[in-house]
Amino acid sequence: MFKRKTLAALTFTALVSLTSAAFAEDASIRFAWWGNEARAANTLKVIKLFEEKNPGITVKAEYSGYDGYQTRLSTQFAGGTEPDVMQVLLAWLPMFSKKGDGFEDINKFSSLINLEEFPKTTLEQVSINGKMQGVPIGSTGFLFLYNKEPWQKAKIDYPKTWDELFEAAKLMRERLGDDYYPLDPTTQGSFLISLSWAMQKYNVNFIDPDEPKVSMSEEQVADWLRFFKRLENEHVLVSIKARTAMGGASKPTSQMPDWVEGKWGGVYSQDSTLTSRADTLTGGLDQLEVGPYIMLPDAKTAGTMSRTGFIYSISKHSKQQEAAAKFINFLTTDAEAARIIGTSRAIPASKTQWDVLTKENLIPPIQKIGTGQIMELDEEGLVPRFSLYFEHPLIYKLLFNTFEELSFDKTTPEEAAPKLIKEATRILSRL
Amino acid sequence: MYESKRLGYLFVMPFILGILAFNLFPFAASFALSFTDYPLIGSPTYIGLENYEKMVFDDDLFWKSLTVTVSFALIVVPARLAVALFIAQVLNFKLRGINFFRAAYYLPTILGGSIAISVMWKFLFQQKGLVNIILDTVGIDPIPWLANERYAVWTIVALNTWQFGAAMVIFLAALQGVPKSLYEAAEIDGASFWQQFRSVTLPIITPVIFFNMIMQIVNCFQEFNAPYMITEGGPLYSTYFMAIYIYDEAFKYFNMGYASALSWVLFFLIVAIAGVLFWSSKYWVFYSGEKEKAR
Repeated sequence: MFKRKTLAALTFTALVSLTSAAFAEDASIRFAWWGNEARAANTLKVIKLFEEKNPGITVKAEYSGYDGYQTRLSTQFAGGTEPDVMQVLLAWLPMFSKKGDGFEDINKFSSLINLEEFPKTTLEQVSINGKMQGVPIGSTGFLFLYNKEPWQKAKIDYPKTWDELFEAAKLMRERLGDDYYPLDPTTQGSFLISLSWAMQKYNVNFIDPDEPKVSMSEEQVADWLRFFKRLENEHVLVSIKARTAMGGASKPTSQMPDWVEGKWGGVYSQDSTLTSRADTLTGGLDQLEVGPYIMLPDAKTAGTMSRTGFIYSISKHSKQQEAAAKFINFLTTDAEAARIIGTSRAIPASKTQWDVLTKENLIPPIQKIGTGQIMELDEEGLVPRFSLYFEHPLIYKLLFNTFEELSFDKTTPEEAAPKLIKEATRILSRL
Repeated sequence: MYESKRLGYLFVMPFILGILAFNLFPFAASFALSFTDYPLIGSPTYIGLENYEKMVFDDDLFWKSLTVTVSFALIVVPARLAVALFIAQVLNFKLRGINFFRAAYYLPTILGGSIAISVMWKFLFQQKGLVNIILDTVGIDPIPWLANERYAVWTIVALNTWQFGAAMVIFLAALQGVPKSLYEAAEIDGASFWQQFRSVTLPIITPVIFFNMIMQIVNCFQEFNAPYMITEGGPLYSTYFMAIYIYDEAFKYFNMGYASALSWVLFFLIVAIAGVLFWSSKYWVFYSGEKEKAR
């Protein structure tokens, strides 16, 4: 009798422990990202591959377009239900992790994530108070991307200087018509492209890269705003007003009918999103070309904004942090993952993935040229540092409001400059 | 008896729990949060009346969005009520295929609040949209509906006025409830159609007008989808409604405390307007059996 009871108890204990061991091995993690269809399709393939290679770990994909992604993430943060792994824009760090305690410190997982794959400076960029907020996905910078069709039709060469750009706008309008523009700036491009000129002229950034304060003088800001007005008035940029009338002040260039019809000659674009500009062009990527970075003679900086665009972070509330770390390591450093993801996010920051893509010719030639251009500018010391606060939503809102008012002639550069400085200083002091 | 009471409570419990968890608790919490600085991520810090002071004395955008919202309500509520009553009156006639027309006129209300309709509206009113194409055929230059401060709000007004179906159905039911004998008596007295409408129909349906008015005001003050989708609150904040401002502050800029304060101001505004309307109703709303007032 005793034996039978003991045997039953032992069997039960064994069963329980086996079952719990099986549960312990099984981990389910949620992974959220934003992006276009190509990025989603590639990422889903990588998830499948990861699951095959890591039995016991399942990854639940939560993906959407950029619009609304941050809102959803912030709501989840408030309720402590954010995904285990999430794609985060570096510019959101001051909001999500002001003191570095919003995300799990990646340093804790150095045995699971091969951090030696990444340049030290990049890892420093993504750390706050010594706590690494995420693993860098890749860096990105702004450049001049052209649809060669209108340029060829108008028989104009891509400009190398700002004067040539104004001349090109004049010729394009004369030869092709009022609907034709050399550049669509997009929302943020409207202030970034003119800031690039202002930085080339004054060699100073709007916000100090080392501390949260405005570093441009009132006259320098006014000059920056005057230059933007000139770009719009002289038909270089599709104006904010014109874009609004077309139903999309903030719509991506590739979704604007005039871009699809080949009326807009180019876009001030990030090299990471360069290929997506071709999505709606009949000629695809072959229709696009990277132009020379437009410079003022003797400029000491190009004024292009180049930085680690986004990172993969681990939730502080995640119960499967190790599985999350393993997954991030796979996404960012695995060779097979690199072959699938390609450059749909950015040129990868890790050494292994970079080597795979370059050796196996997996980077589209135009992207190679674009990224090569940014790297070249960087090597020449022409890429300036930007403050993380520059891309803070409140600063962006302020800049967009100012530029919108200028575009609609509701203010003048002279009136707007002191206001912009005052308001930016107020925001920065509160951040 | 006791058993059936308990069973009754059990059946209504999901509803009560739902109200408590998803309505009353957030309602009370937002009031408490309106006195805090709450950046969503992190804990709220008590700051007293600072949010309310900032709103009144130091926030131009609050006044702008308030003006936009109030002006919008002042235009849309009477417009929607007038159109709804007119269509209800037309649909009250006994015509062939009237049920089809009733359904057809109600359709925009079912579709109207949806994102798809807002997107369609945006396409209609953009620079090269259908509206401008039609205007062009009659020799009128394209109008920048979405890029002009004066016109942008009218695209939202048009969409909202088009969504008159809910009010129309209620008006239709009220019109059908007006006793025929009153019209017969008026006709014998030689009253014209307009006189019958003014002196018989309108007084009898004033409770329904009142009800519809309150509902439409509440809806207008909470308008979000259309301006968010069609004009994104622009240009130059000309369609920046209070609801968008609250949403932006809460979820774009993480100022949950300030967003809560804005919500409470909006709430009090609606309550105040409803209060004034209720007070005024004793002068113009006639309920059956209240002969004294009607006289």
